[in-house]
Formats: sequence, C-alpha cells, structure tokens
Amino acid sequence: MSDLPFFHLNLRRNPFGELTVAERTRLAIVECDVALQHLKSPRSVIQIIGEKGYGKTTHLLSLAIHFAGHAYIHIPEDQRVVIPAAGDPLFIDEAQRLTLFQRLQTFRSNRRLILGTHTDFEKKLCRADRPVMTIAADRFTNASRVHNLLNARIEFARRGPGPIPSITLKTAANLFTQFGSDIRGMEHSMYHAFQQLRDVQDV
Amino acid sequence: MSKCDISIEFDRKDRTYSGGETVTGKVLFRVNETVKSNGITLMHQWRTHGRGNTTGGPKEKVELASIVTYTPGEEFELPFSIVAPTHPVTYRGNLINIDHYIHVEMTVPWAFNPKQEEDYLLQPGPPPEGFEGSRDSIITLAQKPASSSFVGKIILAIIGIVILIPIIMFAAFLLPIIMVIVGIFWFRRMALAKRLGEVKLTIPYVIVAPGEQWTARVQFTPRKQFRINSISLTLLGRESATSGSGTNSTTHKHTILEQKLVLRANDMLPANELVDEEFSLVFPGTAAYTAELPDNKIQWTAVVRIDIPSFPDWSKTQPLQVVPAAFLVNVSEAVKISSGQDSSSVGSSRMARPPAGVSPPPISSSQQFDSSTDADTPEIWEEDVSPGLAQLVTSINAAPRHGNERGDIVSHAAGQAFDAIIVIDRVTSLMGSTACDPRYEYGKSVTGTVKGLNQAIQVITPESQNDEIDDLRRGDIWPTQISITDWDSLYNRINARMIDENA
Repeated sequence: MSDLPFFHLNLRRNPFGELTVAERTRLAIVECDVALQHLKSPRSVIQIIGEKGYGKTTHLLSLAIHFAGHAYIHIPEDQRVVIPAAGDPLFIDEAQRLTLFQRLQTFRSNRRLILGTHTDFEKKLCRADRPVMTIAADRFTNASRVHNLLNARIEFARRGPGPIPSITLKTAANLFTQFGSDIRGMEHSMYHAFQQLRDVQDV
Repeated sequence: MSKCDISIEFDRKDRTYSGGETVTGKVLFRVNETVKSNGITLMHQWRTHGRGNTTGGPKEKVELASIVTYTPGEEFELPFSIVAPTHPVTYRGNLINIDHYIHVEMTVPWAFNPKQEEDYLLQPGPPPEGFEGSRDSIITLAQKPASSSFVGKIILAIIGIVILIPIIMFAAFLLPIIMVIVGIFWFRRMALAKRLGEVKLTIPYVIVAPGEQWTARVQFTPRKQFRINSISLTLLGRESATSGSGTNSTTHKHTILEQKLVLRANDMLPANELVDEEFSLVFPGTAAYTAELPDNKIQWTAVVRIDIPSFPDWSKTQPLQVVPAAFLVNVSEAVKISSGQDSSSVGSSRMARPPAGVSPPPISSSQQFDSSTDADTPEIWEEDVSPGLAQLVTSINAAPRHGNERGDIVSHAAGQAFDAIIVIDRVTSLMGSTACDPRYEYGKSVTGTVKGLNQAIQVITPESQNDEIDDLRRGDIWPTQISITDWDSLYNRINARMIDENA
C-alpha cells in the first residue's frame, strides 16, 4: 500500500499538479452572483480581464456550469478557430486572438458573450450597443483567498480519513507577496514543495 | 451525506498486479437514502498526474448492476474482475506519474452520482500486443492516429498547398540568408569529413532493458593527424511535461539520469590509423521506461561526441527505448557488434570471471547452454548448490505467493551462509544506497537466478569485489558464497549478501 502515490501524505497525488477541466471547475472559488445577474439582460457581455495565471479560464469555467446551452471555445496561440453558430451564451477564452472579422461578427450578434481576455474591449462592445460588465480576474485575490484556494487543492487530493498536510496563513501571505495574483505561479512553487514533503505537516 | 457510500476493496492487500493479470476485488455499498439507480458501472483506466496536462488511456467499462431501487440501511457488495493492461506500467517520477484506476459510479437520475475511485500498482508483465520486431529500431507503442478519408486527404492537400505558396514566396526574399545558413552547415560537415573521414556509429540495441549490458561503437579513420579533447558518450534520461496550452503552455524538464562515459581524453589521433572505440556499460537500473504520451514524455538518448579543440565537434544523438526486461521476449536480437580484437567482450555469451577469492573454476555460459543437451552435466551444478539452500527454496515455493509466509521462512534463515551458483541477469551499482554496512555501500547489486533451483535472487557484493563483478554479463555463471538477508515480496526473490572473505 505504501507504494501508492503520496500515500505517506494521505494524498492520492501531488495536489498542485495539473488538473483536468472538470476538476478545475469543481475547485474554482469564484463569486458568480453579480455576473449571473448581469447576464439576465439580452445581448449582455461579461469580460474577464487579467494577466496569465490570474484565473480567467477558471472564471469562465465557473460561469459555464450555470448555462446548459452554452458554447465554449478556446483560441490557441497563432491559430484560427471557427466560432460555433449555436449556443447561448458564447464563452470565448483568449478573446484577444479573435480576427477582426470574427470580432465584428461576434460583437454585433445577439448572443450573450462571456470573454476571457488580456485586452479591454469595453469601448468596442459599447459601440456595438451591448451592456458590458468588466471583471478583473484578481479582484478578490488576497492572502486569505490564496490560503483557501491552496488548502482546497490539498483537500481534493485526500486519500482517506485522517490528517493531511496544510498550508498555513503565513505561507499563503508569503506566496501572495511573492506572486501577487498569479495563482498558477503559486501552484508551481507548491508542487515542488510537496514533491519534497516526507511527512504530514503544515507547510 | 451522500445517498450511498461506496468503497472499493482489492483482493490483494498490496494492490500490486502484473500486466495481463486479473485484478479482482469487491465494491461495497451502504445506502443512506432511497435511491433509484439506473445502473452501476465500473471503469478502469490509466492516467498521468503531475506537472503535465493529464492524459489517460481508453476507459474500459464493465456493468456491475442494472436498474434497481435501493432502500436506506441496505448494504451489499458486488465483485469485480478485470484484466490489467500490459502497459504503461506504474511510474513515480518528479514531473510525471502514471497510475491505474478503478472507478465505480452509480447512475442516479436528476442527482449527483455517488462514485468512488481507487488506484492500484501495475508491474511489468508480458509484452504489450504488437511489441515485436528487432532491437535495432524503436517499436511504437502509441495508438496510430485514425486515417482520414479520401475527401479529408484532398482538403488537407489543398490547405497544405495554400499555406505552402506564401511560405515559398516569403522564402524567396529570404533566399540569401537561407543560403548562408545552409552554407555554414555544409562547410561544417565538409570540414569534419575532411578531418575525420566517415564516422560509423553502431548501436546494436536501441531497445534496452534496465540493468543489461549495453554497447555502442564508434569507428573512423582520420584523414589527417589532429588532437581531440575527448571521445565521449552521454546517456541522458529525461522527463518532459507540458502544462497549459497556447501562450500559457510551459514545458518542464527534469533530468532522471545523466551519465557521461569518456573513452579517450586529450589524445592525438594519427592520420590513416583506424580509431575503433567501444562504449560498454551496464544500463542503469531504472523504472523510468520510455513513454511518449501527449504532454508527458520520458525519453532516453545516447549522445556520442568527438570533441575537437578549436574545431566543430562531431556528435550524433540516438534515441533509445527503455522497456522492462519482460517486454523483450518477442523482440529479436539485433546483429551484435563484431570486434576483430575480442569478440567475447560483447554480447551475452562470454566467459565468466569469478571474483578473486572464489574457488570454483570459471565456467562459460556457452558451456551452460551446451550442457543442456547433456543430461549428466546439470547434476554437477546441483552438487555445488548447498543442500540447505535447496531446502530453503523448496520451503519458499511451498508457501503461498502472497502473504507473509515466504518472508517469515527467509527471515528464519537470515545470516546463514550458503554456496550458490547464480545465473546472472544484471549487475548494477549501489551508489551509496541500500547497504548499511560501509563495505557494501559502494558495491554492486547482482540479480539473477540460483542455478538448478530457478529461484530469483539479488546479491549485494562488497566494494572490494567491484572490478571482478563488473566483468559479469547476462547469462554468465557465477559461483559464490552468500549470506541470506531477507525476502523481497515485490520481486519474489531472496535478498542476500556475498560473503566478504577479506573481512
């Protein structure tokens, strides 16, 4: 049994390894109420702005689970994707990579839009006569939220009943000072810490 | 509280199975609320976890129960039995882990499905289907991509042409730069050819198992006299894990092993004199078998380099495929390196040189193979096996494979000395691990089987015997004296130490 992964920490795996989309959605701690209220208006748009690793995709995934008939696309770097004709609202991750034609077509459509983007499209969307709400992906990020996020990741990897390692508030504060709102950077740092961990202990 | 609590129990407490074996156990259910189940399914799958994006094998489903309504307080169990896949085997790395899972889910309409998942360990078993061929070329284990239809091929061809035309037009503008770069490479190649002549690199085993003897040979005849810094071979094992995608993608690398072997250093190579160097090493013992999975790769390479001062170096990188020894049964041997000087120094059929202080005469493995036609010869060996050791092995074989009984039998014999003749499987360096006695700390680990008893054994040898032990090759016969230490239940083998006669 002791040969099972991370058995010594009462975990199933390194909690800070990569997650699947479904796991990330399940673990997201995102306040959705205000955004959901805004999306009740026809042709409404939510744009989630933030730097790499700040949680834009997590925001999109957390909102997506509230809409059964939604369409979701992620635009990879240097690639063009076809915008799905059906599905409302339309989620576009990395919306700054839309071509000019796609942007004009999408912004002028009647579908509700939820955009994850590095670029602020508020003026362009207002010109298309759309009600826009801009959300900064890191708006609620602070040491306390970091503490909750990281400990939720550890709890998710729990193997069985009994103690498991935990992140202290002090470590969370240090990580927040070091990485700011870059949650992914913190996770990478903690991955290496957990690879080295030999016993259940506070980190 | 969940509508139903589910737990999975494996029949083997250590949850360890070999590829192709049947994994059995039972799923226990305790119902907390009335629940109408549309069925209970068991799914098994391998998945990666770690720094790279998660990837997994096909999900194989088994239906355990059909539509039933369960009442609160009801407890029941369903047995399961699945055949474990043959690959990939369980792996624990720094960036990459591979594990096998049993997942049980009760389908409940209009509610969250109660589910449970447990992992088990998969050891190497028989080779995967289709792992056949020759050891001189890599055998792909990954699934072939689905072939596109005829219409699909035409569309792809049109897209290719459309993309290619602007690239060619753009390349026309860059032609002078491209020609300069090509010219540099051509000049470099010609300069090396003018100095080194044709360099022939021969690697008979591109598919290699940990712990086995591995060789590479480099041959060339310099066209003029020149000095070299070194002729070296670097064996490199590396994990490569990619996380994220697009601009967010990052590839992380971790070196599992980097071992450099220098054959010649600061030497002058005379003109028109054949340079014929052979690298020979025991491939490191590792569980990091080659894996080419999406976003998760374990890769091994051998880089041979001729380092020439103030001149471009000659180098060649050869990818290697590291597989469990058990996978080699259907793979044919490649043509071995033929050496005009000493053909016995390569390959597995060679004369064994017993370590100093061991009295029995050296016997070659070829003699061993020849003896298989002679009914009388094996008795000679059996006479050399200590009756006590034979009795111990008989007791071990009589005890059940799983449980503690075999370990108990061996622990009772711990410290006893026996004469043993071992058919060598592999020799690896301890590198300061395993042994608590300083004499053995930097010694060797010899694995093989006890001749005449067909019992797997691992013998730790003292550092003072390293030179002699290094000469042992797979298939060699090694007479020695051992002291039993303990039982290795994972490999089903005896652990022992070679008696240090210098002590």
